[in-house]
Amino acid sequence: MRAGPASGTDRYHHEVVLHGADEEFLAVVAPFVREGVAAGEPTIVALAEHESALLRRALPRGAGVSWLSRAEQYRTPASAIRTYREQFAEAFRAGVPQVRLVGNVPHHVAAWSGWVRYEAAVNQAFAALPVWSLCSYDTRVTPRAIIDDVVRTHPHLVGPDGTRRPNPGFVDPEEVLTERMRAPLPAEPGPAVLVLDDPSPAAARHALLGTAPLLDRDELEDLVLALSEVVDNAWVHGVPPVRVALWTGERTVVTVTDTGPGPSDPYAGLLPAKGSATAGLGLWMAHQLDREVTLHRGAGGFTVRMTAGPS
Amino acid sequence: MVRGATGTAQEGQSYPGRHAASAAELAGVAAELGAGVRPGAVEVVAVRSVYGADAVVEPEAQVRTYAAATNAAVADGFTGLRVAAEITTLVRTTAQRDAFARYEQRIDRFMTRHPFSAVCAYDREVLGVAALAELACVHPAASPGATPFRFFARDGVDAVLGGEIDRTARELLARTLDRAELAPRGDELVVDAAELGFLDHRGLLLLDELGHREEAVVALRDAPAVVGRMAALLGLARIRVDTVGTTVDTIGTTT
Repeated sequence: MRAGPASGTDRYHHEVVLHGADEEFLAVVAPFVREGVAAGEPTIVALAEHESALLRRALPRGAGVSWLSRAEQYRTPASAIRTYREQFAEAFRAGVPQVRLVGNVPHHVAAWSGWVRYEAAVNQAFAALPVWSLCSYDTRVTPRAIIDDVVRTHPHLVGPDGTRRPNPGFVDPEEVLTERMRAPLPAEPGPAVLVLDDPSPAAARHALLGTAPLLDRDELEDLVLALSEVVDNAWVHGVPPVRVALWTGERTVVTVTDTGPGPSDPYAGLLPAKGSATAGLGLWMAHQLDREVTLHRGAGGFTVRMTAGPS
Repeated sequence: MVRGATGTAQEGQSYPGRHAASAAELAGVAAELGAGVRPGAVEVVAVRSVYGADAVVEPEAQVRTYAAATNAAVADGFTGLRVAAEITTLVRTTAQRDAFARYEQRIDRFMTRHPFSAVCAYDREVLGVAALAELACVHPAASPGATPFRFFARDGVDAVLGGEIDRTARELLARTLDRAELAPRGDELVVDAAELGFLDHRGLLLLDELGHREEAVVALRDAPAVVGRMAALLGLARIRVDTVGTTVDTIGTTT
Protein backbone atom coordinates (compact mmCIF):
# COMPACT_ATOMS: atom_id res chain seq x y z
CA MET A 1 0.00 0.00 0.00
CA ARG A 2 1.36 3.38 -1.02
CA ALA A 3 1.83 5.78 1.89
CA GLY A 4 1.40 9.57 1.87
CA PRO A 5 -0.75 12.10 0.05
CA ALA A 6 -0.94 10.10 -3.21
CA SER A 7 -2.14 6.98 -1.42
CA GLY A 8 -4.83 5.25 -3.47
CA THR A 9 -3.49 6.50 -6.81
CA ASP A 10 -0.69 5.26 -9.03
CA ARG A 11 0.24 8.69 -10.32
CA TYR A 12 3.30 10.87 -9.83
CA HIS A 13 3.13 13.24 -6.86
CA HIS A 14 5.43 16.24 -7.38
CA GLU A 15 5.74 18.70 -4.53
CA VAL A 16 8.06 21.49 -3.44
CA VAL A 17 9.09 23.02 -0.14
CA LEU A 18 10.34 26.61 -0.19
CA HIS A 19 12.31 27.04 2.99
CA GLY A 20 14.24 29.91 4.48
CA ALA A 21 16.24 28.14 7.19
CA ASP A 22 18.10 24.88 7.73
CA GLU A 23 15.65 23.94 10.50
CA GLU A 24 12.72 24.39 8.13
CA PHE A 25 14.44 22.24 5.53
CA LEU A 26 15.05 19.47 8.06
CA ALA A 27 11.57 19.70 9.57
CA VAL A 28 10.08 18.77 6.19
CA VAL A 29 12.71 16.64 4.49
CA ALA A 30 13.97 14.46 7.36
CA PRO A 31 10.55 12.96 8.24
CA PHE A 32 9.83 12.44 4.54
CA VAL A 33 12.99 10.34 4.22
CA ARG A 34 12.64 8.57 7.60
CA GLU A 35 9.05 7.55 6.92
CA GLY A 36 9.95 6.33 3.44
CA VAL A 37 12.71 4.13 4.77
CA ALA A 38 10.46 2.86 7.60
CA ALA A 39 7.76 1.94 5.05
CA GLY A 40 10.30 0.01 2.98
CA GLU A 41 10.01 2.41 0.05
CA PRO A 42 13.17 3.04 -1.97
CA THR A 43 14.21 6.57 -1.08
CA ILE A 44 16.55 8.52 -3.34
CA VAL A 45 18.33 11.71 -2.31
CA ALA A 46 20.14 14.06 -4.73
CA LEU A 47 20.87 17.28 -2.89
CA ALA A 48 23.46 20.04 -2.87
CA GLU A 49 26.36 19.53 -0.50
CA HIS A 50 25.04 21.71 2.31
CA GLU A 51 21.58 20.15 2.40
CA SER A 52 23.05 16.67 1.98
CA ALA A 53 25.27 17.14 5.05
CA LEU A 54 22.36 18.49 7.10
CA LEU A 55 20.19 15.53 6.21
CA ARG A 56 22.89 12.92 6.83
CA ARG A 57 23.36 14.24 10.34
CA ALA A 58 19.62 14.07 11.00
CA LEU A 59 19.28 10.43 9.91
CA PRO A 60 20.43 7.29 11.69
CA ARG A 61 23.49 5.61 10.21
CA GLY A 62 22.82 3.03 7.52
CA ALA A 63 19.29 4.32 7.04
CA GLY A 64 19.00 2.62 3.63
CA VAL A 65 18.84 5.82 1.63
CA SER A 66 20.22 5.99 -1.95
CA TRP A 67 22.47 9.03 -1.97
CA LEU A 68 23.15 10.22 -5.50
CA SER A 69 25.88 12.59 -6.57
CA ARG A 70 24.00 15.73 -7.49
CA ALA A 71 26.60 16.73 -10.09
CA GLU A 72 26.24 13.40 -11.85
CA GLN A 73 22.51 12.99 -11.47
CA TYR A 74 21.77 16.50 -12.71
CA ARG A 75 24.38 16.53 -15.50
CA THR A 76 21.78 17.68 -18.01
CA PRO A 77 18.00 18.05 -17.60
CA ALA A 78 17.25 15.35 -20.18
CA SER A 79 19.80 12.92 -18.72
CA ALA A 80 18.31 13.42 -15.24
CA ILE A 81 14.89 12.44 -16.58
CA ARG A 82 16.34 9.37 -18.30
CA THR A 83 18.38 8.10 -15.35
CA TYR A 84 15.55 8.65 -12.86
CA ARG A 85 13.22 6.70 -15.13
CA GLU A 86 15.75 3.86 -15.24
CA GLN A 87 16.04 3.82 -11.46
CA PHE A 88 12.28 3.95 -10.96
CA ALA A 89 11.77 1.13 -13.46
CA GLU A 90 14.25 -1.01 -11.58
CA ALA A 91 12.56 -0.33 -8.25
CA PHE A 92 9.08 -1.07 -9.58
CA ARG A 93 10.26 -4.31 -11.13
CA ALA A 94 11.09 -5.35 -7.58
CA GLY A 95 7.44 -4.72 -6.73
CA VAL A 96 7.62 -1.73 -4.38
CA PRO A 97 4.44 0.35 -4.02
CA GLN A 98 6.18 3.73 -4.13
CA VAL A 99 9.55 5.39 -4.67
CA ARG A 100 10.46 8.59 -2.81
CA LEU A 101 12.80 11.21 -4.14
CA VAL A 102 14.31 14.30 -2.58
CA GLY A 103 16.19 16.57 -4.93
CA ASN A 104 17.26 20.06 -5.71
CA VAL A 105 18.29 20.77 -9.26
CA PRO A 106 21.19 23.12 -10.00
CA HIS A 107 19.72 26.57 -10.20
CA HIS A 108 22.40 29.03 -11.10
CA VAL A 109 20.87 31.56 -13.44
CA ALA A 110 22.82 30.69 -16.62
CA ALA A 111 21.55 27.12 -16.79
CA TRP A 112 18.11 27.70 -15.31
CA SER A 113 16.44 27.77 -18.70
CA GLY A 114 17.16 24.04 -18.96
CA TRP A 115 16.14 23.23 -15.40
CA VAL A 116 12.79 24.97 -15.52
CA ARG A 117 12.05 22.80 -18.54
CA TYR A 118 13.04 19.81 -16.42
CA GLU A 119 10.74 20.82 -13.55
CA ALA A 120 7.86 21.21 -16.01
CA ALA A 121 8.60 18.08 -18.03
CA VAL A 122 8.89 15.64 -15.11
CA ASN A 123 5.16 16.13 -14.48
CA GLN A 124 4.64 14.36 -17.80
CA ALA A 125 7.73 12.12 -17.80
CA PHE A 126 6.90 10.48 -14.46
CA ALA A 127 3.12 10.94 -14.69
CA ALA A 128 2.22 7.26 -14.73
CA LEU A 129 4.63 6.23 -11.96
CA PRO A 130 3.83 5.98 -8.23
CA VAL A 131 6.72 8.28 -7.35
CA TRP A 132 6.51 10.85 -4.58
CA SER A 133 9.11 13.54 -5.07
CA LEU A 134 9.91 16.44 -2.81
CA CYS A 135 11.96 19.27 -4.32
CA SER A 136 13.55 21.77 -2.00
CA TYR A 137 14.55 25.35 -2.76
CA ASP A 138 16.23 27.68 -0.31
CA THR A 139 14.60 31.09 -0.62
CA ARG A 140 17.64 32.72 0.99
CA VAL A 141 19.85 31.96 -2.03
CA THR A 142 17.43 31.40 -4.91
CA PRO A 143 16.62 34.40 -7.13
CA ARG A 144 13.00 35.54 -7.12
CA ALA A 145 12.45 34.81 -10.83
CA ILE A 146 13.52 31.22 -10.28
CA ILE A 147 11.19 30.83 -7.29
CA ASP A 148 8.36 32.08 -9.52
CA ASP A 149 9.16 29.35 -12.07
CA VAL A 150 9.37 26.75 -9.31
CA VAL A 151 5.89 27.65 -8.11
CA ARG A 152 4.54 27.36 -11.66
CA THR A 153 5.95 23.88 -12.18
CA HIS A 154 5.03 22.05 -8.94
CA PRO A 155 1.42 20.93 -8.53
CA HIS A 156 1.76 20.50 -4.75
CA LEU A 157 3.20 22.75 -2.05
CA VAL A 158 4.61 21.84 1.35
CA GLY A 159 4.82 24.61 3.93
CA PRO A 160 7.88 24.96 6.19
CA ASP A 161 5.65 23.62 8.97
CA GLY A 162 4.97 20.46 6.97
CA THR A 163 1.42 21.26 5.85
CA ARG A 164 0.62 19.95 2.36
CA ARG A 165 -1.78 21.52 -0.12
CA PRO A 166 -2.48 21.68 -3.85
CA ASN A 167 -0.74 24.59 -5.54
CA PRO A 168 -3.15 27.11 -7.11
CA GLY A 169 -0.20 28.68 -8.98
CA PHE A 170 0.62 25.49 -10.92
CA VAL A 171 0.64 26.00 -14.71
CA ASP A 172 0.14 23.37 -17.41
CA PRO A 173 3.67 22.07 -18.18
CA GLU A 174 3.10 22.33 -21.92
CA GLU A 175 2.37 26.04 -21.49
CA VAL A 176 5.56 26.54 -19.50
CA LEU A 177 7.62 24.67 -22.09
CA THR A 178 6.07 26.51 -25.03
CA GLU A 179 6.63 29.83 -23.27
CA ARG A 180 10.29 28.92 -22.68
CA MET A 181 10.72 28.28 -26.36
CA ARG A 182 9.62 31.87 -27.02
CA ALA A 183 12.48 33.23 -24.89
CA PRO A 184 14.92 35.21 -27.06
CA LEU A 185 18.35 33.83 -27.88
CA PRO A 186 20.95 35.03 -25.40
CA ALA A 187 23.39 37.59 -26.76
CA GLU A 188 26.77 36.09 -27.59
CA PRO A 189 29.96 37.84 -26.45
CA GLY A 190 30.92 38.89 -29.99
CA PRO A 191 30.34 38.19 -33.65
CA ALA A 192 30.26 34.55 -34.81
CA VAL A 193 33.62 33.23 -35.98
CA LEU A 194 31.86 31.27 -38.68
CA VAL A 195 28.48 31.37 -40.40
CA LEU A 196 27.44 28.59 -42.77
CA ASP A 197 24.49 28.91 -45.11
CA ASP A 198 22.66 25.69 -45.94
CA PRO A 199 25.45 23.35 -44.85
CA SER A 200 25.13 19.60 -45.05
CA PRO A 201 25.59 17.81 -41.71
CA ALA A 202 29.11 16.87 -42.86
CA ALA A 203 29.99 20.44 -43.81
CA ALA A 204 28.79 21.63 -40.39
CA ARG A 205 30.83 18.95 -38.59
CA HIS A 206 33.97 19.71 -40.54
CA ALA A 207 33.58 23.45 -39.98
CA LEU A 208 33.24 22.96 -36.22
CA LEU A 209 36.31 20.70 -36.11
CA GLY A 210 38.16 23.22 -38.27
CA THR A 211 37.84 25.92 -35.62
CA ALA A 212 39.72 23.66 -33.16
CA PRO A 213 37.49 24.46 -30.18
CA LEU A 214 39.00 24.42 -26.69
CA LEU A 215 37.20 21.27 -25.62
CA ASP A 216 38.37 17.89 -24.40
CA ARG A 217 37.95 14.99 -26.78
CA ASP A 218 34.72 13.65 -25.30
CA GLU A 219 33.07 17.06 -25.20
CA LEU A 220 34.10 17.76 -28.76
CA GLU A 221 32.82 14.39 -30.01
CA ASP A 222 29.52 14.98 -28.22
CA LEU A 223 29.14 18.45 -29.71
CA VAL A 224 30.03 17.22 -33.21
CA LEU A 225 27.40 14.48 -32.94
CA ALA A 226 24.78 16.88 -31.59
CA LEU A 227 25.48 19.44 -34.30
CA SER A 228 25.24 16.83 -37.03
CA GLU A 229 21.94 15.47 -35.68
CA VAL A 230 20.45 18.95 -35.30
CA VAL A 231 21.48 20.05 -38.81
CA ASP A 232 20.03 16.79 -40.11
CA ASN A 233 16.77 17.59 -38.25
CA ALA A 234 16.69 21.09 -39.72
CA TRP A 235 16.80 19.64 -43.22
CA VAL A 236 14.32 16.84 -42.55
CA HIS A 237 11.79 18.56 -40.28
CA GLY A 238 12.57 22.27 -40.67
CA VAL A 239 12.21 24.77 -43.48
CA PRO A 240 15.28 26.00 -45.40
CA PRO A 241 17.35 28.12 -45.52
CA VAL A 242 19.36 26.53 -42.70
CA ARG A 243 22.03 28.60 -41.03
CA VAL A 244 24.75 27.45 -38.64
CA ALA A 245 26.70 29.98 -36.57
CA LEU A 246 29.67 29.28 -34.35
CA TRP A 247 31.36 31.10 -31.50
CA THR A 248 34.61 29.91 -29.99
CA GLY A 249 36.50 31.02 -26.93
CA GLU A 250 36.45 29.66 -23.43
CA ARG A 251 33.08 28.17 -24.29
CA THR A 252 31.97 26.95 -27.67
CA VAL A 253 28.50 27.92 -28.83
CA VAL A 254 26.79 26.63 -31.96
CA THR A 255 23.37 27.67 -33.22
CA VAL A 256 21.35 25.98 -35.94
CA THR A 257 18.45 27.98 -37.35
CA ASP A 258 15.84 27.09 -39.92
CA THR A 259 12.90 29.25 -40.91
CA GLY A 260 10.21 26.81 -39.78
CA PRO A 261 8.23 26.85 -36.53
CA GLY A 262 10.24 24.09 -34.83
CA PRO A 263 8.87 20.93 -33.24
CA SER A 264 5.21 20.94 -32.25
CA ASP A 265 5.90 18.63 -29.32
CA PRO A 266 6.67 20.82 -26.30
CA TYR A 267 8.66 17.95 -24.74
CA ALA A 268 10.93 17.72 -27.81
CA GLY A 269 14.47 16.97 -26.74
CA LEU A 270 13.56 16.16 -23.15
CA LEU A 271 11.73 12.90 -23.77
CA PRO A 272 12.67 10.42 -26.50
CA ALA A 273 10.03 10.40 -29.22
CA LYS A 274 9.76 6.65 -29.53
CA GLY A 275 6.30 6.59 -31.04
CA SER A 276 7.20 8.48 -34.20
CA ALA A 277 9.99 6.41 -35.74
CA THR A 278 13.19 8.17 -34.82
CA ALA A 279 12.03 11.74 -35.36
CA GLY A 280 13.10 13.65 -32.29
CA LEU A 281 15.67 11.10 -31.21
CA GLY A 282 18.51 13.21 -32.61
CA LEU A 283 17.39 16.24 -30.62
CA TRP A 284 16.93 14.09 -27.52
CA MET A 285 20.47 12.79 -27.89
CA ALA A 286 21.84 16.30 -28.22
CA HIS A 287 20.08 17.09 -24.93
CA GLN A 288 21.58 14.00 -23.31
CA LEU A 289 25.15 14.61 -24.38
CA ASP A 290 25.56 18.37 -24.29
CA ARG A 291 25.35 20.25 -21.06
CA GLU A 292 23.30 23.13 -22.34
CA VAL A 293 20.86 22.86 -25.20
CA THR A 294 18.09 25.41 -25.54
CA LEU A 295 15.32 25.81 -28.09
CA HIS A 296 14.14 29.18 -29.35
CA ARG A 297 11.15 29.95 -31.51
CA GLY A 298 11.00 33.47 -32.92
CA ALA A 299 10.00 35.56 -35.89
CA GLY A 300 13.08 34.41 -37.80
CA GLY A 301 12.35 30.73 -37.31
CA PHE A 302 13.51 28.02 -34.96
CA THR A 303 16.96 27.86 -33.38
CA VAL A 304 18.72 25.16 -31.39
CA ARG A 305 21.58 26.60 -29.33
CA MET A 306 24.23 24.25 -27.99
CA THR A 307 27.00 25.14 -25.58
CA ALA A 308 30.06 23.20 -24.50
CA GLY A 309 33.04 23.97 -22.34
CA PRO A 310 33.46 25.05 -18.71
CA SER A 311 30.27 26.46 -17.20
CA MET B 1 55.67 -12.04 -65.74
CA VAL B 2 54.44 -9.09 -63.76
CA ARG B 3 56.85 -8.29 -60.97
CA GLY B 4 55.55 -6.81 -57.76
CA ALA B 5 57.47 -4.59 -55.38
CA THR B 6 58.80 -7.60 -53.50
CA GLY B 7 59.94 -9.28 -56.65
CA THR B 8 57.38 -12.05 -56.43
CA ALA B 9 55.87 -13.30 -59.59
CA GLN B 10 52.14 -13.16 -60.02
CA GLU B 11 50.03 -13.98 -62.97
CA GLY B 12 48.04 -11.06 -64.30
CA GLN B 13 44.79 -10.86 -66.17
CA SER B 14 43.26 -7.81 -67.72
CA TYR B 15 39.73 -7.35 -68.90
CA PRO B 16 39.18 -4.22 -70.95
CA GLY B 17 35.45 -3.72 -71.06
CA ARG B 18 34.39 -0.25 -72.07
CA HIS B 19 33.62 -1.40 -75.56
CA ALA B 20 33.43 -4.85 -77.05
CA ALA B 21 37.06 -5.39 -77.97
CA SER B 22 37.92 -7.50 -80.96
CA ALA B 23 40.15 -10.56 -80.66
CA ALA B 24 42.89 -8.63 -82.47
CA GLU B 25 42.68 -5.74 -80.05
CA LEU B 26 42.93 -8.06 -77.08
CA ALA B 27 45.94 -9.80 -78.57
CA GLY B 28 47.55 -6.40 -79.10
CA VAL B 29 47.05 -5.39 -75.47
CA ALA B 30 48.39 -8.75 -74.30
CA ALA B 31 51.51 -8.37 -76.45
CA GLU B 32 52.12 -4.88 -75.08
CA LEU B 33 51.67 -5.86 -71.42
CA GLY B 34 53.41 -9.20 -71.78
CA ALA B 35 56.52 -7.93 -73.53
CA GLY B 36 59.62 -9.30 -71.84
CA VAL B 37 57.88 -11.40 -69.21
CA ARG B 38 57.33 -15.10 -68.86
CA PRO B 39 54.83 -16.44 -71.40
CA GLY B 40 51.43 -16.89 -69.77
CA ALA B 41 52.15 -14.30 -67.09
CA VAL B 42 49.78 -11.77 -68.63
CA GLU B 43 46.50 -12.80 -70.07
CA VAL B 44 44.02 -10.39 -71.60
CA VAL B 45 40.44 -11.49 -72.02
CA ALA B 46 37.15 -9.84 -72.87
CA VAL B 47 34.78 -9.16 -69.99
CA ARG B 48 32.02 -11.02 -71.80
CA SER B 49 34.12 -14.17 -71.93
CA VAL B 50 34.56 -14.15 -68.15
CA TYR B 51 31.17 -12.97 -67.02
CA GLY B 52 29.02 -13.09 -70.16
CA ALA B 53 27.81 -10.00 -72.02
CA ASP B 54 25.68 -7.66 -69.87
CA ALA B 55 25.53 -10.48 -67.34
CA VAL B 56 24.08 -10.45 -63.89
CA VAL B 57 26.88 -12.14 -62.00
CA GLU B 58 26.26 -15.05 -59.71
CA PRO B 59 28.29 -14.04 -56.68
CA GLU B 60 29.10 -17.50 -55.37
CA ALA B 61 29.92 -18.96 -58.81
CA GLN B 62 32.12 -16.02 -59.73
CA VAL B 63 34.14 -16.39 -56.56
CA ARG B 64 34.61 -20.09 -57.40
CA THR B 65 35.84 -19.14 -60.88
CA TYR B 66 38.54 -16.87 -59.47
CA ALA B 67 39.41 -19.37 -56.78
CA ALA B 68 40.06 -21.96 -59.48
CA ALA B 69 42.07 -19.46 -61.54
CA THR B 70 44.14 -18.56 -58.48
CA ASN B 71 44.83 -22.22 -57.75
CA ALA B 72 45.81 -22.78 -61.39
CA ALA B 73 48.21 -19.83 -61.29
CA VAL B 74 49.81 -21.14 -58.10
CA ALA B 75 50.03 -24.62 -59.65
CA ASP B 76 51.83 -23.04 -62.63
CA GLY B 77 54.47 -21.69 -60.29
CA PHE B 78 53.15 -18.15 -59.81
CA THR B 79 52.80 -16.69 -56.34
CA GLY B 80 49.27 -15.57 -56.99
CA LEU B 81 46.82 -13.96 -59.35
CA ARG B 82 46.09 -10.32 -59.97
CA VAL B 83 43.18 -9.01 -61.96
CA ALA B 84 42.64 -5.57 -63.34
CA ALA B 85 39.16 -5.26 -64.76
CA GLU B 86 37.05 -2.57 -66.36
CA ILE B 87 33.55 -3.84 -65.65
CA THR B 88 31.15 -0.98 -66.19
CA THR B 89 29.00 -3.12 -68.47
CA LEU B 90 28.34 -5.49 -65.56
CA VAL B 91 26.83 -2.89 -63.26
CA ARG B 92 24.65 -0.73 -65.44
CA THR B 93 21.25 -1.90 -64.24
CA THR B 94 20.00 -2.04 -60.66
CA ALA B 95 19.74 -5.83 -60.76
CA GLN B 96 23.27 -6.14 -62.15
CA ARG B 97 24.64 -3.75 -59.56
CA ASP B 98 22.90 -5.53 -56.70
CA ALA B 99 24.38 -8.88 -57.72
CA PHE B 100 27.79 -7.43 -58.43
CA ALA B 101 27.99 -5.56 -55.14
CA ARG B 102 27.17 -8.82 -53.34
CA TYR B 103 29.90 -10.50 -55.36
CA GLU B 104 32.35 -7.67 -54.60
CA GLN B 105 31.95 -8.26 -50.87
CA ARG B 106 32.39 -12.02 -51.25
CA ILE B 107 35.49 -11.73 -53.40
CA ASP B 108 36.85 -9.10 -51.01
CA ARG B 109 36.61 -11.64 -48.17
CA PHE B 110 38.19 -14.28 -50.41
CA MET B 111 41.13 -11.94 -51.08
CA THR B 112 41.95 -11.59 -47.39
CA ARG B 113 42.73 -15.31 -47.27
CA HIS B 114 44.11 -16.11 -50.72
CA PRO B 115 46.89 -14.86 -53.02
CA PHE B 116 44.44 -13.01 -55.20
CA SER B 117 44.07 -9.28 -55.65
CA ALA B 118 42.19 -7.03 -58.00
CA VAL B 119 41.70 -3.49 -59.19
CA CYS B 120 38.22 -2.67 -60.40
CA ALA B 121 37.68 0.20 -62.78
CA TYR B 122 34.26 1.74 -63.35
CA ASP B 123 33.32 4.53 -65.71
CA ARG B 124 32.11 7.42 -63.56
CA GLU B 125 30.34 9.10 -66.47
CA VAL B 126 28.36 6.04 -67.42
CA LEU B 127 27.34 5.05 -63.90
CA GLY B 128 26.83 8.37 -62.16
CA VAL B 129 27.76 9.26 -58.60
CA ALA B 130 25.18 7.21 -56.67
CA ALA B 131 25.72 3.95 -58.55
CA LEU B 132 29.46 4.37 -58.33
CA ALA B 133 29.27 4.84 -54.57
CA GLU B 134 27.45 1.50 -54.21
CA LEU B 135 30.50 -0.20 -55.69
CA ALA B 136 33.24 2.05 -54.37
CA CYS B 137 32.10 1.71 -50.74
CA VAL B 138 32.89 -2.02 -50.57
CA HIS B 139 36.54 -1.53 -51.55
CA PRO B 140 39.34 -0.96 -49.05
CA ALA B 141 40.47 1.98 -51.18
CA ALA B 142 38.58 4.07 -53.71
CA SER B 143 39.00 7.26 -55.71
CA PRO B 144 38.70 10.39 -53.55
CA GLY B 145 35.09 11.45 -53.03
CA ALA B 146 33.67 8.29 -54.60
CA THR B 147 32.07 7.16 -51.33
CA PRO B 148 31.45 8.67 -47.88
CA PHE B 149 32.35 5.42 -46.09
CA ARG B 150 34.04 2.09 -46.74
CA PHE B 151 32.83 -1.34 -45.65
CA PHE B 152 35.19 -4.14 -46.56
CA ALA B 153 36.82 -7.37 -45.39
CA ARG B 154 39.95 -7.75 -43.32
CA ASP B 155 41.53 -10.84 -41.93
CA GLY B 156 40.72 -11.36 -38.24
CA VAL B 157 37.46 -9.40 -38.24
CA ASP B 158 34.15 -9.82 -40.01
CA ALA B 159 34.35 -6.39 -41.61
CA VAL B 160 35.95 -2.98 -41.48
CA LEU B 161 33.78 0.14 -41.36
CA GLY B 162 35.55 3.42 -42.02
CA GLY B 163 34.69 6.94 -43.08
CA GLU B 164 31.64 9.04 -42.20
CA ILE B 165 28.03 7.97 -41.95
CA ASP B 166 25.19 10.45 -41.70
CA ARG B 167 21.88 11.00 -43.48
CA THR B 168 23.52 11.24 -46.89
CA ALA B 169 25.07 7.77 -46.49
CA ARG B 170 22.19 6.05 -44.72
CA GLU B 171 20.56 4.33 -47.69
CA LEU B 172 23.92 3.32 -49.05
CA LEU B 173 24.88 1.76 -45.72
CA ALA B 174 21.54 -0.06 -45.42
CA ARG B 175 21.96 -1.50 -48.89
CA THR B 176 25.59 -2.39 -48.30
CA LEU B 177 24.88 -4.18 -45.02
CA ASP B 178 22.11 -6.11 -46.71
CA ARG B 179 24.40 -7.12 -49.56
CA ALA B 180 27.21 -8.11 -47.23
CA GLU B 181 25.52 -11.43 -46.45
CA LEU B 182 27.82 -11.82 -43.48
CA ALA B 183 27.56 -15.20 -41.86
CA PRO B 184 28.58 -14.75 -38.24
CA ARG B 185 30.80 -17.59 -37.06
CA GLY B 186 29.49 -17.33 -33.53
CA ASP B 187 27.07 -15.00 -31.85
CA GLU B 188 29.20 -12.00 -32.71
CA LEU B 189 29.98 -9.90 -35.78
CA VAL B 190 33.24 -8.10 -35.19
CA VAL B 191 33.52 -4.82 -37.06
CA ASP B 192 36.78 -2.92 -36.96
CA ALA B 193 35.68 0.68 -36.42
CA ALA B 194 39.08 2.26 -35.81
CA GLU B 195 38.80 4.24 -39.04
CA LEU B 196 35.24 5.35 -38.37
CA GLY B 197 35.29 9.14 -38.43
CA PHE B 198 31.61 9.73 -37.73
CA LEU B 199 28.44 7.74 -37.17
CA ASP B 200 25.05 9.28 -36.46
CA HIS B 201 22.30 7.59 -34.46
CA ARG B 202 20.44 6.33 -37.50
CA GLY B 203 23.61 4.73 -38.81
CA LEU B 204 24.05 3.00 -35.47
CA LEU B 205 20.42 1.82 -35.63
CA LEU B 206 21.19 0.21 -39.00
CA LEU B 207 24.03 -1.75 -37.41
CA ASP B 208 21.69 -2.80 -34.61
CA GLU B 209 19.20 -4.01 -37.24
CA LEU B 210 22.01 -5.98 -38.86
CA GLY B 211 22.62 -7.66 -35.50
CA HIS B 212 18.94 -8.56 -35.18
CA ARG B 213 18.89 -9.94 -38.72
CA GLU B 214 21.99 -12.05 -38.20
CA GLU B 215 21.06 -12.97 -34.63
CA ALA B 216 24.43 -11.72 -33.48
CA VAL B 217 25.87 -8.89 -31.46
CA VAL B 218 27.66 -6.36 -33.64
CA ALA B 219 30.91 -5.61 -31.81
CA LEU B 220 32.32 -2.26 -32.91
CA ARG B 221 36.01 -2.55 -32.14
CA ASP B 222 38.10 0.56 -31.42
CA ALA B 223 35.16 2.84 -32.19
CA PRO B 224 35.19 6.51 -31.15
CA ALA B 225 34.05 6.82 -27.53
CA VAL B 226 31.00 8.85 -28.51
CA VAL B 227 29.62 5.81 -30.36
CA GLY B 228 29.68 3.94 -27.06
CA ARG B 229 27.85 6.76 -25.31
CA MET B 230 25.26 6.85 -28.07
CA ALA B 231 24.74 3.06 -27.94
CA ALA B 232 24.28 3.21 -24.16
CA LEU B 233 21.72 6.02 -24.51
CA LEU B 234 19.74 4.15 -27.12
CA GLY B 235 19.93 0.86 -25.19
CA LEU B 236 20.64 -1.17 -28.30
CA ALA B 237 20.56 -4.89 -27.58
CA ARG B 238 22.59 -5.92 -30.61
CA ILE B 239 25.44 -3.45 -30.34
CA ARG B 240 28.55 -3.66 -28.23
CA VAL B 241 31.11 -0.91 -28.44
CA ASP B 242 34.72 -1.60 -27.56
CA THR B 243 36.40 1.77 -27.50
CA VAL B 244 40.14 1.89 -27.08
CA GLY B 245 40.89 0.47 -23.65
CA THR B 246 37.28 0.13 -22.47
CA THR B 247 34.20 -1.90 -23.15
CA VAL B 248 30.81 -0.28 -23.09
CA ASP B 249 28.30 -3.08 -22.96
CA THR B 250 24.77 -1.94 -23.65
CA ILE B 251 23.14 -5.31 -23.27
CA GLY B 252 20.55 -5.19 -20.54
CA THR B 253 20.45 -1.40 -20.40
CA THR B 254 16.98 -0.14 -19.68
CA THR B 255 15.57 2.99 -21.19
